[in-house]
Amino acid sequence: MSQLNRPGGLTALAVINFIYAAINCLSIIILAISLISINAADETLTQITAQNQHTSNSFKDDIITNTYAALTSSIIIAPLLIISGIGYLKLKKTLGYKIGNLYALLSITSSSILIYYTPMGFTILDMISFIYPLTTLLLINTTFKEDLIK
Amino acid sequence: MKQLKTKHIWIIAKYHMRFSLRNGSGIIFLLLAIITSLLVSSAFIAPAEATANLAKSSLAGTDQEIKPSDFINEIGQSKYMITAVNWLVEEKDQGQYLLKEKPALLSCIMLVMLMLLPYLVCFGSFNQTSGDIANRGLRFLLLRTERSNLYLGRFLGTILFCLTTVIITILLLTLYIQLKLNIYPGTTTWLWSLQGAAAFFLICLPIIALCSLISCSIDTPFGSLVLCLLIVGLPSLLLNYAGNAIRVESLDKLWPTGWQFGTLNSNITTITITTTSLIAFTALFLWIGIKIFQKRDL
Repeated sequence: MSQLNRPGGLTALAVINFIYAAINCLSIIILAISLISINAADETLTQITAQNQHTSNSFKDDIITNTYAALTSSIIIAPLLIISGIGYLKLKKTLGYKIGNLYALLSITSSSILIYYTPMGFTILDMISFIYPLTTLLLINTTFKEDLIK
Repeated sequence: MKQLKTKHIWIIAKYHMRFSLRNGSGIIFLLLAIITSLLVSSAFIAPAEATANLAKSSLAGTDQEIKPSDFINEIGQSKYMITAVNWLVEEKDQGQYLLKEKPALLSCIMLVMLMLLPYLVCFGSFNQTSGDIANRGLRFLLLRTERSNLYLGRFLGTILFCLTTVIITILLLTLYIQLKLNIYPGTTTWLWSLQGAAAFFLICLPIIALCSLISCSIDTPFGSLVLCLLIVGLPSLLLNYAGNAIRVESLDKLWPTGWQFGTLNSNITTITITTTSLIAFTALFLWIGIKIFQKRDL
C-alpha cells in the first residue's frame, strides 16, 4: 500500500541516490587502483621529491593521505546512499529519514575535510559535491518529512 | 476570460510550486540546472585555476605572484574568444562588448547557459497538466474552479519555481566569482548578474508556455517530456538550416530560441525588441494552450 502513497519526488531522490552510489562504487575502484599505482611508482616519486627543490618533502605522503581519505569516505557513503534509497522507496523512518540525514551530514563533513586538505583548495567543481547532500537534507526535513516519519 | 479569478490562479500557482518538488520533476530540474551551470562554469574557470596553481608551484621561492584572474583575463579577452563570441551571437561588435566592457567570465558562462536553458526548463515544466489528465485527477479540481484558472495557475507556479532556480544558479556563480576569484569590480559583477538572471528568466518564459501547451495536449508525462524537448530543439535547427539554404539570416527568429542572446546585447533597442518578442511568443503559446485545454476531454 505504501507504494501508492509515495510521492514521485521520493522516487526521484531514491533513483538519484542509486546513481550516486554507483558513482561512489566506481570511485572506490579507481581510488584503489590509484593507491596500487602510487605504491608501484614509489621509486619515481621519491626521485621527483629529491630532484625538485620546490616540491614539498611530504608530496608523496600528501597524495597517499588524500587518496586514503577519499577512499574511506566513498566506502562509508556508498552503502548509506543505497540504504537510504531503499528507505525512501519503502517510506521507512530509520532507513529513509535517519540514514538519509546521516548520509547528508557525513557527505558534507567528508567533502569539507577533503577540500581543506587538497592542495588545490576549494574549486567550483567542489560545489557539486555539496549540492546533492544539501538538497537531500533540505527535502527530507521539510517536503518529505511527514511521508518518511509517518 | 470572464471566468478568470486572480485569487484562484494564485492559490493554484502556490500549490503547484510546492507540488513541483513533491512530484520529482522540480527536484530533477533544480539539480540539473545547478549542476549544469557549475560544470559549464568549471569549463571556463578550472583550466585557469589549474594553470595558476602550476605557475604558483614553479614560482615558489621567488617574489613573483600569479593569480587565476591573470589567466582568466588573458584568455577571456583574447581575439580568439572575441571571434568565437561574435560568431555565436551573430553580431560583429558583441564580442568586444561582452568580453571587454562586461565581466568576460560571467558573459561566457551566461552565453552557454542561454543555449542550454531552453532544454533544461523542459524537465521542470513538462508535467504541468499531463499527469493529472492521465490519472483523471483534474476532474476534482474542476468542481472548484474554471479550466482557464487551472491552466494559468499551473503556468504561473512553474514560472515561480523556474525563477527561484534561476536566482539560486546565478547567486552561486556570482558568489564564487566575486568571493573566490575577485577579478571584477563588485557593482559591475552584480549588475551584470542581475541582467543575466533576467535574460535566463525571459528565455524560459516562452518555453514554459510551450511546455504548458504540449502538457495539456498529451495525457502521458513521459510523452510530454520527449515532445517538449523535440519541439524546443527541432524547429530552431530546421530554421537555421533553411535560413542558411535560402540565405535569409533572421529566419531563426521565427522561434523563441532564435532570440536567446538578444537580452545581453549592448543596444537597448535590441534588448527591447527581444523582450517584446519573447513575451509575444509566451502570450501566443498561452492563448493556443488555453483554447486546447478548454475544449479537451478531462
